[in-house]
Amino acid sequence: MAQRPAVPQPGDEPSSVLDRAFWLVILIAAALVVVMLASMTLGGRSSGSPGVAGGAVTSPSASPLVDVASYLYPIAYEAPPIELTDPTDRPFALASLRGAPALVFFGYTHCPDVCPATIGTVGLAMEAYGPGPHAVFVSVDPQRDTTTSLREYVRYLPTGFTALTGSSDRIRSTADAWDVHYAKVATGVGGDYSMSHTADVFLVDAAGTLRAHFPFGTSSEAMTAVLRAVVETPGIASPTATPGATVAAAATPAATSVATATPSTATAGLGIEVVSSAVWAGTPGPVIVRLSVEGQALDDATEHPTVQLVSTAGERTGGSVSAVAVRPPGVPDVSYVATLAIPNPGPWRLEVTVSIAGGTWTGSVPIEVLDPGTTAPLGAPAPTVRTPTLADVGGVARAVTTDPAPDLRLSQTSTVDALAADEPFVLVIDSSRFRVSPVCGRAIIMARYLLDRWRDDAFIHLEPYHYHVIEDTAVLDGTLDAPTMTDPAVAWGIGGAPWGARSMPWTFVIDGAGIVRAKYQGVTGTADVDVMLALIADGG
Amino acid sequence: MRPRPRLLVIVVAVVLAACSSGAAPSVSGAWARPAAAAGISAAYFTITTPSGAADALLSATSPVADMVQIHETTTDGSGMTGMDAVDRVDVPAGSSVAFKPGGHHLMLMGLTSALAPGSTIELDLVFEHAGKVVVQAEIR
Repeated sequence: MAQRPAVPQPGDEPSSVLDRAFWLVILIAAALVVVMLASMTLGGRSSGSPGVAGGAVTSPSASPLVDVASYLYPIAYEAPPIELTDPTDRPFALASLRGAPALVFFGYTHCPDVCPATIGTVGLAMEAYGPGPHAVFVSVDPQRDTTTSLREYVRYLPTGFTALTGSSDRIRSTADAWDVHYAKVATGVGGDYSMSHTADVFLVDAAGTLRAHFPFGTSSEAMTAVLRAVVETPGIASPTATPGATVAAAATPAATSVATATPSTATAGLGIEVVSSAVWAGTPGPVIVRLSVEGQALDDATEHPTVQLVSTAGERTGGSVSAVAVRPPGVPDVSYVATLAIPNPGPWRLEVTVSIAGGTWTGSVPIEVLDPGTTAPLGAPAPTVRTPTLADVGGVARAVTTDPAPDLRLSQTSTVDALAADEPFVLVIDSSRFRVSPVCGRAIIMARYLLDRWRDDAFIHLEPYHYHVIEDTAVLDGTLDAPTMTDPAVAWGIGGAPWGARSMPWTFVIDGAGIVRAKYQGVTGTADVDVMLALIADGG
Repeated sequence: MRPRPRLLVIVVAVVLAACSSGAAPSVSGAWARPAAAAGISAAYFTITTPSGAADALLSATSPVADMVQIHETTTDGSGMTGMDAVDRVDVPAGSSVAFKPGGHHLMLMGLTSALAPGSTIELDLVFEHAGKVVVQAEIR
């Protein structure tokens, strides 16, 4: 009977104390054993996780109230085109889905975590919504995602999903148009790689308008709620966004095409195309149109059409204005620029009359006029706050631009330098990295294009949001939901009502006298800015 | 009164045995995504450590995958998501770390067979202190 010396023998001590200690040990031991066995047993089993179907991300606390407006674009744009190839090797165009809403996202089939999670969430949202919506998965990995591999992949996708691929160039240009970024990342195993990519889900409505976007991790409940809200409020305006949203929407190229499609456009045979990307209420500003008579473009630089502002009630407002003909260098088309003072934002009509050999032609076109809010007014001197140049920040490009491949010609001149030199300039307030809308970064691209055409003018890029550079990476101060504006951006009136801090990009055109001649929010047509620069160069 | 000391010895032995296996982290709710053979999948679970026994997941293998990496999905300020391989995932004593979509996960590469919904696969997790812990993950 071997006994460990450490174990006390009964009778060595008063038995009542020993008894109590003995039973205490027994009880604790028993409790521990029960707890451990329980945890081991439960731990070994893969218990069903609540609310997960198809491996979707579940929202930790699915609130019954969804802040729908927070997912909507303050300004709705026509969705950029997607024309790629489906798994059956047939061409597929996003436009073919018109008539039903579509959820669009970018990913790749070798994506283990993010893409399946997104697919699961989108699938749940569509299921909860009911029949109607489509989902479109666009590959950002054309090297591995052939149509053959997509055929295998779509077998795992919920119904209503389409997967698309295409050539590297086509995928890149499609992603650029959606401002979706992607890059290969080596995983360190025999040339294997994964893709970093923008994992937002975009909501395109039945009319083909881009209405909302969902950051990665958005719950399916939120997607369903936004889907319902968007379907119930068709049209180009966001239902619950900023006060400016209703008027803002119609100034986009999408809205322009809506305007020209209005039957009344064709009255009396004068065709009117509104070139202006933005028409503003308040102080007098430019409205640019192109004209055609019986289908033939009117490209006569000697003409001076008259333009009359008309209210939606049919009342003529202000006098009729003589438009100036402008033909930018190397461009065959003649545009006509009328300077109009429009009292209020909202819907208006333009009545245009032109007298040419053979008679007088008249037409009218609806326009949507924007609320300038706090932004630098047209016709007034430009703000005199210095925008930083490359030299100002010691040559560290990352400190003046978040563009991954910056065109440093956009960071050579400060707005105050251009003003002091009586030099016309274009200011683009835009960010390639801190994107609040899919069109962020496009104003910079526009500026790079026009820079080559207008070498005597300064093109200046300003980052709208405060950020720090940490090891060559731009890190935003605060959050993308509530970014902090840079001082020069504030000086140009960006960030105030009704547009807010998330209304990027903005473009301003300033003449040699330092006067703000044009301004644009969101997508800006190069033709539009081109005409304004030509007008300024002509001394207009 | 003679049997009592023997009972005490047995109880102490049971407690010691329970402690040695109980100090290992428990791994619960393991699941992985369906995938085609030669494809990739991701596995998720929750690691819970007993109080007083911090541990760290260092690596993992699976009989169904040529390679398994511990990954963390990250999203930057511009909405770009990417995956970073991580060397270790620390689990403080008496706490849980969830591997879940959009966060930590095991990436299973070079699958030797298709992972069909409803089946289970084995994951062999290697912890710094507890050593190997074998987990069955449901495919769903």
